[in-house]
Amino acid sequence: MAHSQTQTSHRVPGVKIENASRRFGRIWAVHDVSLEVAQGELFGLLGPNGAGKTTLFSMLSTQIKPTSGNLWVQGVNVRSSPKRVRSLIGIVPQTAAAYEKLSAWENLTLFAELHGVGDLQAQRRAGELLRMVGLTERRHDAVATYSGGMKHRLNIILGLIHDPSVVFFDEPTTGLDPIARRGLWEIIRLLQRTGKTIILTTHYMDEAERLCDRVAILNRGRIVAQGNPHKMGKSLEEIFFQCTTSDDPQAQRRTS
Amino acid sequence: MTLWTLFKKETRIILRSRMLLGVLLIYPLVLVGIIGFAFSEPQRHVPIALINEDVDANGQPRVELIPNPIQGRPSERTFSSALIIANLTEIADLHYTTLEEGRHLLLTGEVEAVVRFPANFARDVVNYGSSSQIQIITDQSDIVRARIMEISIRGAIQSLQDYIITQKVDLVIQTIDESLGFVSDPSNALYPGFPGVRQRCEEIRTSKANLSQSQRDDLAACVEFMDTIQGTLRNSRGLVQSVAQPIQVRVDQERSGSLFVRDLIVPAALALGIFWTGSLATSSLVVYERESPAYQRLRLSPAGVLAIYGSKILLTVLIILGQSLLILAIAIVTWHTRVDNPALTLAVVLLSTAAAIGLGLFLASLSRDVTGTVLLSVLITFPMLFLGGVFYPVSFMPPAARFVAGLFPLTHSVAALRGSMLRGFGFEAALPWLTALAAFGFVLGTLGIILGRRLELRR
Repeated sequence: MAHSQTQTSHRVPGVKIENASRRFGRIWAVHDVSLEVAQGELFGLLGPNGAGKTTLFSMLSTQIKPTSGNLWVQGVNVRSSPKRVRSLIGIVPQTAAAYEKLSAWENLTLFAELHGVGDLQAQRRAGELLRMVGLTERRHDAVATYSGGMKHRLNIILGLIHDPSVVFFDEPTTGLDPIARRGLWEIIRLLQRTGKTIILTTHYMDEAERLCDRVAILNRGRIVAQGNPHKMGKSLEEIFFQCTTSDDPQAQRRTS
Repeated sequence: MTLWTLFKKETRIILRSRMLLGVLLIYPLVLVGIIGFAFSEPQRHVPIALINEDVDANGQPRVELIPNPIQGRPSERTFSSALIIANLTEIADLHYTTLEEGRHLLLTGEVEAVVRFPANFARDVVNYGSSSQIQIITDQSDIVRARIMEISIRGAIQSLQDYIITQKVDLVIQTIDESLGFVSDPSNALYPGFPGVRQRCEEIRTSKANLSQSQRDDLAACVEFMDTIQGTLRNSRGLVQSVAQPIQVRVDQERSGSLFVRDLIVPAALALGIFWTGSLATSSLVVYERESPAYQRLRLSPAGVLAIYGSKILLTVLIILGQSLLILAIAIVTWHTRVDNPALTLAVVLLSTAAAIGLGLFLASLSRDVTGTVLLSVLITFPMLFLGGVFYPVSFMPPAARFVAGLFPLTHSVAALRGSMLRGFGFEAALPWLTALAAFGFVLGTLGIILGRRLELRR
């Protein structure tokens, strides 16, 4: 099971990571990480800078291969079937990943076409997503003319245009004003209600507490704490500081 | 399908990047326009300062009769500095001035050269025991300009040099003929001349009955001797001419038609446009994509590397083909530029495009941002421009420079386009250049893609 290409159980997890490690030279960016995210779950990855969140994200999204261990998305092995995995996932990077010379509509239909979505379906879906984030009126304007908040909203729906099962958000609210931030939370909750598995990284503990069903705290490439943020006994911020500053090897055991 | 989708995206982006579009498309066209205009006609009015000290009391060029060298009589043939000056007016605007003023004008750049005819110039030229000297002063601080002016002025003088030699030779021949009586001299009708004396000797030998056999033999020997001398002197024109002008130059122009310098430049400008646009467009598109945050999303889409690079290559090929056709159309319609072998020209354009794209991919693999790519592109383009045979023949360069020139694909492209457009080369003759261009395209392109992927993975 652990090394099979595709998990065969009836209800596979949205994401499963089993003893995944990634080394860059002599440094282990991610070391022996295992976790499971259920389908439809909203999972938060927390950790200070350099904790290994981006590396774990990159492995899950097929951008880099693990040095050892296995990762599955919707039961599909990331290492052996990266193309299939790419069709299952949607990425919402930290910076707006859109072509600035193209309009929102052109960006959306471009990525829909690349993902093999048919013309009519692509147009219908682009229309729905634009309505969802309130960009319908400006859909034919070049992205370069958008405000920061508009680019953020477009960034999100670009990751959803091919209707992925699993969506990765990489620090989605960094740099946003409080109103835009709350608007984004609404969109993420809306997505969760549609049954999508969502994994997000964030530096904001309040964001994780408000949004996530479960969180994992990463420090120096290892998971040091994991659980439901509302059932961990202490505030998430307290646990975060404890885990990331004390080097306590028992932290995970205490908090899970 | 993926390729077409990405091609549409590239087209939209490039059409909306006005600056890039201008640099890629408009600049080469402007370049060709400027070059075509600059070289459209030979310069006919180069300013030259002229000092003529060989003038008469009225300030007019002194006219001298070319004298008969043996009898010392002046002939009807004349010579004057005015003949050379007339030749010079074909290539220059003449500014009559003094030597001092002429030197000043030369140094201030108001004239390109100074030409001075000394006093008694024409007299010394026509006399048989003397020669004369024309002084040409050029500004050696611009060696190319100085050399071109020297060659042009020498050319104008040389034709008169030939003229004066021919006149003198004719006069020598005429004098010999008249002296020996080969032609009748109206001023001395009774002079028997050489043929008359010979005829008289022959008559005595055959008609006088009282001559001894020995006398007859002597007369026969005299007649034979005179026949020999007559024959030799009759060939004197050729003999004298061979002494005066032992070398005569005949210039035959192979496949010249009515070529102007711009005809030579058009293939070079075409090649330059291909390499400018090809390398800059490919490298800019690749690096622009790599710099764009959207690239991460693109790489995570099902689009493969081949489709991503292929869409940029396809767009660049279409841009270059359109641009090349436009340049050729302008050159053919406006300047009647020749395209002797259209099929080979098209093949050279395509292979040059492949080499230019290969170069662009290679440049893109060396730089992380568009600014760096443009700088690299300029760094490569300028040496190519100067060493690639665009303006100065590669064959005239020293061996080391020729070797370096061979490392530039532009050199092969320029040579191949000139061969196909102006010299009517066939595919067989152009094969070395075609092979070189294909090799450049393949090697640089492959290296560019491999190194580019490594660069991406390191980011």
